[in-house]
Amino acid sequence: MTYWLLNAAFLAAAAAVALAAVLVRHRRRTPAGTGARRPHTAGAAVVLTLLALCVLTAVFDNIMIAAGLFEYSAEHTSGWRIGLAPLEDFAYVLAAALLLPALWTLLPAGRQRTGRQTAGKQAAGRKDAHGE
Amino acid sequence: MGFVYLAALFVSLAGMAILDWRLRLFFRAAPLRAGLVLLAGLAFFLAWDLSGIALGIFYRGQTDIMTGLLLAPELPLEEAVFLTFLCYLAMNLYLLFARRLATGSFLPGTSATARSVRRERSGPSGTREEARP
Repeated sequence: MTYWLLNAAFLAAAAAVALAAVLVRHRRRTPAGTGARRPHTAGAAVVLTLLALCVLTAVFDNIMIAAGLFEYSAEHTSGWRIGLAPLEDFAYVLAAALLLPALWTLLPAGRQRTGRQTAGKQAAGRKDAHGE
Repeated sequence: MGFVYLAALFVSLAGMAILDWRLRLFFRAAPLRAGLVLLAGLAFFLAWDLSGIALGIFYRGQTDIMTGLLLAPELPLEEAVFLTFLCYLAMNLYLLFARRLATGSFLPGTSATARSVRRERSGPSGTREEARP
């Protein structure tokens, strides 16, 4: 069970950052003139990201373990596995799907670089043009 | 010394970079912001790995497809590259899905910028067509 406890600690940290991002997004949205932004886009994108990462993990974690890249101590894992992959390993992608988009949201957008000058001019002044 | 795993990781990382570049997702959209997110993610997952290693939960396999270079006891160089890839993949996926949900397209920008990109692309070939007798 040690692995689950370790995961719980890091997942809690990731969830705290995600919560902060949700609150910040909510505060940014409440001021007037932002009706165009759909409220649940980011949440839905996080869920889709998590699903895709879980499928990839189920495939590639098995390959990586079969290749002998790393091993697990039997006494610290629950023994629940998908193929060779311990269920605990999926905590990594859950944390990735929560933490990274949250950090992206919390960091200021800064100067958007959309490549071309024309596209850049059009996007200027429109905050969060990317992935928000 | 084996470079098989490291080479596979760099091929995968290159795939992420190409996706990022072509679809203007992450580093190409906001380089500084992307760099900070990736560094913070890498530090977070390395701390997770090191804690797991310290608790004796997992350890490095004995295999000849890894270089054998270690960043810390039981922490191969390859793991840091893998975690970088995992973070890059997660962000590319998130930004792609968020864009698709917000604009209805996987192509870059909001509908206005996507149109301008398409115009840029079709522009020169279009004029060539017209110039033909």
